[in-house]
Formats: sequence, C-alpha cells, structure tokens
Amino acid sequence: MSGPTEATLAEILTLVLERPVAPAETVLREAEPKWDSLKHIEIVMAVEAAFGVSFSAEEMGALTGSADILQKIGG
Amino acid sequence: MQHNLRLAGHRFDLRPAYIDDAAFILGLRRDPELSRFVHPTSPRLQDQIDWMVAYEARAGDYYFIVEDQADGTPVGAVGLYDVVDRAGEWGRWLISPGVLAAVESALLIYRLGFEALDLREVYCRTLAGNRQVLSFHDSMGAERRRTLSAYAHLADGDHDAVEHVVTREAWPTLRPRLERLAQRVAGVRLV
Repeated sequence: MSGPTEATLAEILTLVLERPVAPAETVLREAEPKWDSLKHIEIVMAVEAAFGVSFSAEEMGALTGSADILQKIGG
Repeated sequence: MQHNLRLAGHRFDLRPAYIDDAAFILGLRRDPELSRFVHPTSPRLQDQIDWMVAYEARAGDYYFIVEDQADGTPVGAVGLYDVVDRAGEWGRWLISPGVLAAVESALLIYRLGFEALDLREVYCRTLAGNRQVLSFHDSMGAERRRTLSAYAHLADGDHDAVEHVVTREAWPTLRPRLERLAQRVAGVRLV
C-alpha cells in the first residue's frame, strides 16, 4: 500500500482495529484479534462511505483483509 | 427443549432446531475452521442425534438454526440455555464460514432473552484464546464479568473462559448498533 487510497484505508483500519496500521501494511482479517464479525461490517461501511463503493453481502463475507478491499475499490 | 419460538431478522431468521438438523449441526461442529474452540465432537451422526434427543427433554434450553431468509438455507446454529432465575447463557454459536450472520444471530438471541423470555441478564462464556469472539462481545458492549479458570478441556489442554454479560438495563442502548449492522448486511439502505 502506498497511495492516497491505501492511506485512507489505513486510517479506517487504524480507527476500527484500535491499533496503528501503516498504509503499506497488509492486514489479514484472520490474524487480527479485533477484526471481529461486528467490526468487519463497520469496516465495510466505512470503506463504502469513504470510496463511494458498495459491497454485496456475499462480497462482504468473502473479504479476507486489506488486499481484498483494495482490489474492490481499485487501489 | 422442544419449543416453537421463531425470530425474524432483516436477512436471517432463527427457527427451532430439530433432530433432523443433527447432520447439519455435526457438520458445523466438525468444520476445521469452526471447531478450534469447540469441545471435541464425535464424528458419529447417531451421537449428535442422541444429544438432540436429550436436548429436547431438557428444560430451559432453546436451540436454534440460523436460516437465510432468501431460501431457507441453514447457515448456522445458536442457543440460549441454562435459563434459571431469569438469567440465561447463550452459545453453541457456529456460523458457516463466509456467511455474515453473526451479528444478526446475536441480535436475535438477545431479543429472545430480553423481549420474549423477559430475562434480567444474558451471559456468554468464550474460551480465552478465541480472541475474535471475545472482541465481538467487547465490541457490542457486553461487560466482562469474570474469568473462569480451566473452564474447558480441549485436545491441547485446559482453557480459561471469559464471561460477558448484558443486562436488561443495558440492552436498549446496545440493540440499535446491532440492528444497524444487521440491516446493512440485509442490504437495507441506511441514512
């Protein structure tokens, strides 16, 4: 991660996961203790609001981490 | 116990678990991704059926299948049990991987406890190593009440458990957030 899209996503993840996330960091859902089912939806909603994209429930369920989100929003 | 309670959500519903659901429940309990923090489960279907028969005879035990409203597909299971003195434990919570039914199934089980059964508190016990589920309960605002040492013995040894509790008084302040997230999963347009 390195551009403005990555920086914005890192800000979202920092806020929701309650730990500093660097723009260049790849974050895996399964490896994050605080990336729980509830926060997963909150992350998606924040990404949708920030980037003007929309995820279906199936797309939301398939997201495994920051790389999948960046792929979806074209970062 | 045998019951006829059904709870309708935004995308997912809870319906009573029946003996015929034994194979589905066994599949959840034997799923490698889900079973890490589950008591060892016999691979024999008959053992699960026997457990369901005993469950149906047990008072104060409400076991549910989580269904997708779209087509009635079962996507998980959850229960509220040991209901005594207007308090009950919820758990046996297993959702098929990749299905976003966790928030809504939790919402519905709390609605069952506080709104249908008029409980004064609903608590849950999570193995200490199950960090994302601990985080879920923390995130939704459940209070950590105590730690139970050596609560469960799994294949790799003893595990402590953390007990979270939601009181009847706290529920009205916690419910709106769960509702909002469940609505989002259901595709309800939020403003």
